[in-house]
This record gives sequence, C-alpha cells and structure tokens, in this order.
Amino acid sequence: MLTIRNLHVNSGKKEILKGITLHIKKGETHFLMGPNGAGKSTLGMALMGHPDFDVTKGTLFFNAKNITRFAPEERAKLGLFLAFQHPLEFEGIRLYSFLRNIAVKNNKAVFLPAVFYSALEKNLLSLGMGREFAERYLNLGFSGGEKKKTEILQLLEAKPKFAILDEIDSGLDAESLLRVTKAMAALTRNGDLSLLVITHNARTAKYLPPRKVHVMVGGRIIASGERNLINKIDKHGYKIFK
Amino acid sequence: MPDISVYKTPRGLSPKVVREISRQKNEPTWMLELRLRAYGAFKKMPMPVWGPDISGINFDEICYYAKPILGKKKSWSEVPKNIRKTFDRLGIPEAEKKMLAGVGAQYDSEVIYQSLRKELSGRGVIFTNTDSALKEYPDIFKEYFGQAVPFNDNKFAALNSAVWSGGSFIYVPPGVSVEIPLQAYFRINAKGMGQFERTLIVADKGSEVHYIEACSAPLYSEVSLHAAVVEIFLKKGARVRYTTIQNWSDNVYNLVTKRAMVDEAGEMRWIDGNIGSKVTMKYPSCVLRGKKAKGEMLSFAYAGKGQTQDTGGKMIHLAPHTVSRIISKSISRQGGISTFRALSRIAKGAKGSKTHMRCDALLLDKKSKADTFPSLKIDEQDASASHEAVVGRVGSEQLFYLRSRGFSEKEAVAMIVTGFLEPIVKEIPLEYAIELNRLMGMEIRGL
Repeated sequence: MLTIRNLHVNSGKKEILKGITLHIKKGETHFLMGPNGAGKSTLGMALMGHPDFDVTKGTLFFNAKNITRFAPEERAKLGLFLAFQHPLEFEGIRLYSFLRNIAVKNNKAVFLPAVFYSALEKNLLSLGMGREFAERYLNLGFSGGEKKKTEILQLLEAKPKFAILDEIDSGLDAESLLRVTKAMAALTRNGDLSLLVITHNARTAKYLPPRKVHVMVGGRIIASGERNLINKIDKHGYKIFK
Repeated sequence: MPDISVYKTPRGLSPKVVREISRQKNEPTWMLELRLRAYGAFKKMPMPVWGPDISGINFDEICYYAKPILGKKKSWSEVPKNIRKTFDRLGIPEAEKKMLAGVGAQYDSEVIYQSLRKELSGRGVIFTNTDSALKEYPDIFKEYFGQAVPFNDNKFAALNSAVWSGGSFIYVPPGVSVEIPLQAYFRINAKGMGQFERTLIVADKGSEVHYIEACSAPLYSEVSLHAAVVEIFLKKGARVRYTTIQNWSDNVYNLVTKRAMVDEAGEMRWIDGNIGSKVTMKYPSCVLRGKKAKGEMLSFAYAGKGQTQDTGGKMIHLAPHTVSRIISKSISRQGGISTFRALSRIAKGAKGSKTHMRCDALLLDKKSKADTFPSLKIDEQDASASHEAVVGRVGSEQLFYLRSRGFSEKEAVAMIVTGFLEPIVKEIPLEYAIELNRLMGMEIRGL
C-alpha cells in the first residue's frame, strides 16, 4: 500500500526527516510515537505533499506508484488522507456543503442532497455531534475535540485507502475517543483503510490495535516493534531508545 | 451588437445639449431650469482631489443621451428582438421574469420595458421609470427630487442632475408591505455612452419595500461613465432595503451618489456589491434624522487587474438613539486596489446613538492592495462608536488543508473567497447569490 524509502525532508534549509523507511500494507494500522519535535507531524505533512516541506532524497510509493512529486490534491485523489493535528478554521464554508464537495470530489458520485444529508446525520450522531454542526462554518469556533471529529467526518466522506491520523486523540474526551477509534476500527477491519496513527496516547491502542509501532526520535525511526512497545514507552519514556 | 439608438445628442456637454435632452423628454420648465443650474454647478466644481485617479474620463467624448426606440413598450413580446436577445444573454430566465413584480429594464438611457403587477398598483404602489413619474406624479416628484442629493452635492451628482435619464421611481403608501422585491436591470450598450439614471424611492409611514438593481455590461474599448443618483426617503417606521450587484465592464467609471433620509424608527439597509468597472467610487449613506432610526450598509467589492474599488459608506446621526453599522468585505487580485472609505458622524444631541464599522480585506496575491480609511466624528458624549479593520491574505496552510481534501489550488482559492463573502452573500436574494458565486468562481478559476 504505502512504501516510504529513505525519505529526507527539509523545512527551509533545516533537515527534519533524516531517512525514513516504512512499509504499511493494505488494512494495517501502524502507530508512530516519539517525543515532541521528533518530526512525526512533518512526516504526515510530507506524505500529503505539503509544498513547504522539500523531499531532498528518497521515494514515496503508493500502490507501487511513485508519488514523491505529486501535488496534495493528486494524492488525495489516489486515496491518501491526512487528519490534521491542528485543523484550520474557515469562515463562510458550511460544514455540510464542504463535506458534500468532498464526497462528490472523491467518489465521483452525485448524491441527492436528501440522501447525502441523512447519511451525514448518521455520521454526526455516531460521533456524538448534534445536527446543528452541519450548518456551522467549518471548524469556526469549534472546540479542540469537535475539530478532531470534523476531521473524521471528512475522512468518512473522502473514503481514503490510507489515512494519517495526526494526534487525533488529543483533545478528545474518553467517550469521544471511543467513538472516533470505533469508527476507524470498523474501516480497518474490512481492510478498506490503512492507518498511520501519530499518538502519545497508549489508550488509543486499546481501541485501535496497531499491527506495528514505530518510534521516531530526531527525524529517524529508531525502533519498530509490536504493540507491547507502547507499554515500554509508557513505563520508561523514550530515553531507553537512546 | 448593432447600435439601435434612434436619437442621440452629439458628444460632449453644453447648455444646448441639456436643453435638447429636456426637449426630447417634453419636460416641464422647472426641470429644465434645474438641469441648467446643475450644469452650471458641474462646470464650476473641480474634480475630486481625493480618492482614485479618474482623470481618464473625457467629458467631451461622452454621449449624454440616447433614445433607443420610440415610445414605451407594454409587454415583453413587443420589445424588439435584438434588445430581448441582450436581456436573454444576461441570463434572466423567463420564469423569473414572470415571478418578478415588475421589471424595469434599462436599455441605454430609456426604460423600454416596464411591467407592473396589478395587485401592486391596486394597493397604491407606484413603480415606474423616473421620466414617466415626472409627468404622471408631478407633485410627489417635485416634493422629493433633489431633496436628499441636491444638484450641487458633488461634481457627479451635478452631472447626473443635468443630464439624468431613466431610473426607477417607487412610492409605497403608508402601511403597505411589498413582499416581492422590485427589480431593475441596467446595461450600458451604445459605445461611449454614459448612463445617468436617477432613482427616487419614497416609503411612506410604516411601509416596507426591497428594491434590487443588478447591473452588467458588455465589454467596450471606449471609456464609459456611469454617474447615477439614488435618493430614498423613509417616513416614520418605514423599512427599505436596496440591493445592488454590479458587474460593469472594466472600462467603466462608476461614480454613484446614494443617500437615504431616515425618519423616526425607520430602517434603511444598503447591500452593495461591486465586481467590475475600471474605477468605482461609491459610499451609500444614511442620514438618520428621526429618533431611533437605523442605518445599515453591507458591501462587498472585488478588484481585479487594473480595477479600483473605492467603496464604503456614510452614516450621519442627527437624532437620539439612532443606530448604524457599516460592514465591508473586499477582495483584491492581480494588482487590483480595494479601498474602504467610511464615515460615521454623531452630531451633538444625538444621545444614546451607536455606530459600528468593520472592514475585512482579503488579498489574493502580493501585487494587490487594500487600504482602509475609517473615520469617526463624534460630537456627542453619550454615544458609542467602534471600528475594526482586518487585512488578510489567503494562507498557504489554508490552501494546503483544502488541497489535501482533493481540491485544486484554484478551487481552494475560490472556496476561500466565496466563504469570505458568504456572510454578506447570504443577505442577498438566492438567485443573485448563486449568480455571484458562479461569477466569483469563474473569476478565480480563470487565472
């Protein structure tokens, strides 16, 4: 599904990622953990094609296609998705119409407004959000947790094959975390979705069990392992990897 | 488009031309005299020394009056074919035409098509072109004409007063609410033709009306001038909404004076959208002269390549407990210049009055410019006034966010722009909102 080969990424003149190699198969969930400033979010941005992050070396393959130089929208079309750590606010863009645009864009299907709306209502309720959110401007004045949920609503409309969830669990209360991870787990179970989950939260693994866990420090993946790696990190922190 | 005007005054302006316009229209002497006095004021007054460069206007090259067809046609089917075609190109659907209470369509300087629903006239509502009103309702006409915008108010109001032709005249009797918006479509068509329409609206006590003018003009290489005057009178408790959406071609100087006189507890609302033109200078104003009168001005402007949108509003508080608001949004692109110029004045004695102005400017590239000149003149201690101005750019993070959802860069910019305008666009009738969003989308995508 997604292969990252020796990826080096600069922000300006500064090298942030210093040779990342990862392979995530169809339907797999991988966790990416590491201290603040390790470069985890940069990897997410680079995978999605953020123009401010230069790939100076290395290659990105998505389903055997070299997408290293692809524009963000081209990656989205292929089935990549990034749930942002800090979702942006947009005045004047209503959540309802934004989601509908995403659905139309990514599924090439034209939905009747009524059909679309009832499906959206179901998604809203499953995430514990009221109907009134549909009419509000995208993320404007939303709480941290609500913003994270609209990322998931967008994901549900985009129906990606591969998604990066950048600290989707931060800002979510216990119940919301359960709802969000449940929605993701349902998609991964059928093998419809692969995930790279960036997190600091050991509890997330309980609901969304990872196949593999990677530890990033200083722009490098310095350890990879099974789920039990999370417990080790929880107990000892990242110093044991140094 | 063939030039189908059957009568035109020679280019340039002189007392002779003014007399000829009045003679062609068969006007009473007082109007001719007013026109001549206005002409004198126009000749005497200097060009404005502030604001954008309008030195490109050559008054001698402009044709001040043209009469497209003889007489006034009663129904749409009687309107000559090539004129109807022009209107069809404006995209006014047949169904919509029928839905409208009345369509006052201005072709060149003459209102050639006016239809008024029977039920409206049955309720005493007058909706006609200004030329007819002068003849058919001379008393009410004389009482209000030039009372909000005197002939010597400013150079372009003087010019309009001297050569005005066409425009809409509306009178709404006491207590009558006109539920359906009254609409007019304007278009400049003959080469180098000026357009000097004059609109006069009188909303009597407790009445309510919404007037819409949507303008669009085809492209011409010669310089065109649009210098209109709009005067509105709101009696006690009257509510008037005046919506303008303009898309002049980019060679038009659009210099318009709009003013409303608001009596006690009246509510005036200007909604003003300016998309095209070479230079627009327009500051719709409200004179709040009765207590508890309200004035509101919502505007949006789009300045593209070679365009200057110099817009804003004026609120004059003369009575106690009057309230006003000026909200403006502008977008500049490809070197376009948007200027927000607004004035709120609270006179001594207008106790408990409030005014607020806000300007948001969005710049789509580094070449473009936005300036804001808010001005508050408060002579009353017991009053509150506030203003805020925000100039922003489309952020690269915002673009990336939208692109990561599968939208191209142009689509993303168009989404941000329509979103930016949404709080104002939602105030205008749906059919225009859709048209406007489509137009803005085309502007952005056609980079």
